[in-house]
Amino acid sequence: MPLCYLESTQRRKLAGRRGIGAVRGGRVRGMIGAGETLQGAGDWLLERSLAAAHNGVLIADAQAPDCPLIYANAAAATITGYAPEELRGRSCRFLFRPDTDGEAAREVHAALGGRRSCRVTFTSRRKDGSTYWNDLQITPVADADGKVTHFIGVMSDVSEREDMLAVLRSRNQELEALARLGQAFLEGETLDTMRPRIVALAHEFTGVERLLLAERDGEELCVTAGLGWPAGVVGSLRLPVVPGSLVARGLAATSPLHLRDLRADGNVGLPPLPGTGLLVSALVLPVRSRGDVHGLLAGFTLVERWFGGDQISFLQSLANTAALAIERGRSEARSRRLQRELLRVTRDSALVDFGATIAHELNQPIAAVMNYAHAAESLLGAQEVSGTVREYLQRTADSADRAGEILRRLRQLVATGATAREPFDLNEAVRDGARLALLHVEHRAQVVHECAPGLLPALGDAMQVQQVVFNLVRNALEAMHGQPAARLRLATGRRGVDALEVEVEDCGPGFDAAILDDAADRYTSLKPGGMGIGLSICRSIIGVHGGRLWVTPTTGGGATVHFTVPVATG
Amino acid sequence: MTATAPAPPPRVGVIDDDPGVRDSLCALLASSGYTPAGWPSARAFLDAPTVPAPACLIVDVRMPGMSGVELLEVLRTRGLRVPVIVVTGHADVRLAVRAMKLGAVDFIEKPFRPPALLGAVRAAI
Repeated sequence: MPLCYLESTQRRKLAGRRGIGAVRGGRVRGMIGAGETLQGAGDWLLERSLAAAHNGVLIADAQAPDCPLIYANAAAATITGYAPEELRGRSCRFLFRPDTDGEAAREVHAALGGRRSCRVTFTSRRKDGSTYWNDLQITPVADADGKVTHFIGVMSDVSEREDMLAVLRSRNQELEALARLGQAFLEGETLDTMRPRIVALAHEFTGVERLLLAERDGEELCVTAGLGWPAGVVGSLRLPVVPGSLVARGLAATSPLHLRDLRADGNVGLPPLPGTGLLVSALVLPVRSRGDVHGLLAGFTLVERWFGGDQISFLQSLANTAALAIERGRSEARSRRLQRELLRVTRDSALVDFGATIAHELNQPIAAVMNYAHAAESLLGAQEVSGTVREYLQRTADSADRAGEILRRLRQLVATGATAREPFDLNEAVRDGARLALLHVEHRAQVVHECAPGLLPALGDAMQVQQVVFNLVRNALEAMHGQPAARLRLATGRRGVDALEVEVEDCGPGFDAAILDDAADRYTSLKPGGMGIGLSICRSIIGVHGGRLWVTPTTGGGATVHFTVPVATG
Repeated sequence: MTATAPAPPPRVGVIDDDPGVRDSLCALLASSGYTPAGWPSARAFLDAPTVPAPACLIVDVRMPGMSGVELLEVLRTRGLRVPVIVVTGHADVRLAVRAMKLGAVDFIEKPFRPPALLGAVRAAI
């Protein structure tokens, strides 16, 4: 930068010479101030350099009161909008208008008073009143005695850079917000809590005063979330799809519908709502995923407004997330309905009743076969008998054992189906289920309970939740069978606003991916020996409760089965 | 206390309405060195207790008349501290929890593996 050169060399190289290097006395100041040509080839060159510089250069007299400007180059005039003559004699305070950056003004004032350099970036005002970003560097110039005689100010209009940075910053915030929203979606946040969140984000980042999320419900749209509307709109306002209306056009549109002046349009399709004010501009985005239009995300402003491409794409991302959440919410509701239906059908079917009866009736003789076989085997103990007899007895016992296992699973299947729907203590259900599961099972596992204290009551059938915990704990123990340092962790806690979560963590070999994928489908299978049916039944029971069951790998090996049950409200 | 003859084999009571299960359980217990005694109902057991009292009881939960759980209640009110192993054919968790809260020492699902039952008896005695 040429001025650094001037500052650092003025005393050593230019002392005693005329021109810029001698900008110390009244003579030279007058000379520059008058716009006179500097004398000598070097001076002329320096002056030309200043005039040609892209940066604005100001020189102020540090010894006069208020540090008046004695020189301003052409760029300074261009940036500020004042002619060089208008700048001369002014205090550099003119850069700081009371309505612009006070902090920068204080910093410059302090630097001038303290005779030191400073650099500030602030909003400044041109002569015509328009604003720009000014990057100003002030450097004191001292004479041979070290006394500060002048200040040199170098400034540039960095509006483009600052504006770009502001855009980048806001884009970054938008992306972070979208990422957080996506994360919440992936972690299973419910549609009920995602809707208001989406609308709130739309308001936060675009400042649009009236927002609504409307979802298809039969032939109409129902407003499921909104902001800036009178009470009673969200959840109850229904929008008919009248041909040609904003609603119909928004649903049919493949890209966002941007209407700058609705007053001219007249056919907004919103019923008149008291207290909303006159809606002027609108942006209507289809909420669609994979070709299905689930509804609309619409923003309305009270003043005419133009939406930029960035804002539209941000809102479209929100609309897309809403579409995914709606789709998932609907498919969950559908599968819960189907599951309930399936369970009802299964429970009601005469075949299953018949199966249950057979299971119960067969239980007794099978138990007897097992007992007799075992007793006979014990009695044979001391006697000399053929190995074949012993082997046959063993096989009898094994076969009875297998028949017993099939019956156990059949009974589990019949037992599935939510009956009670009442508040219960989840911690107690988990403790009871685990206690039963740990009975008369040989295990060396260290069992850790991490029950959250003061948990809200859960809603559902405590007995069935005990059954689920029972199955999960048994599965976990089986998985860790014979393993040294086996550890079983049972934890309860809150999940989101409206659910409680239970975790059953083991350090066994983990689950086979195939079991996890089709566990829910193997509903009617009675394959003995596998744990698939147990997990599938657990999943069905939890599904009927309106909860979810999923499996994650345990850190360091093993599997953690998680399930949620709803909180009992009111 | 005099150390004379070796202690007689522990007496184990079996209360189950299904004769097949009851008799086979008795056979199983006898084969493992216990002295079994069977009753077809809770009422029959309460009306005609053996002397000496069993060291352990194996009780079916679902029986006509008095259920296994009701029997547990009666035993508790009479102050009898005999360990009770509850057996159920229904995997009925609700009943099992009730039985455990009444002080049953163990809970076994039917059909059970004989070694599991014998293990429970050993632990109870």
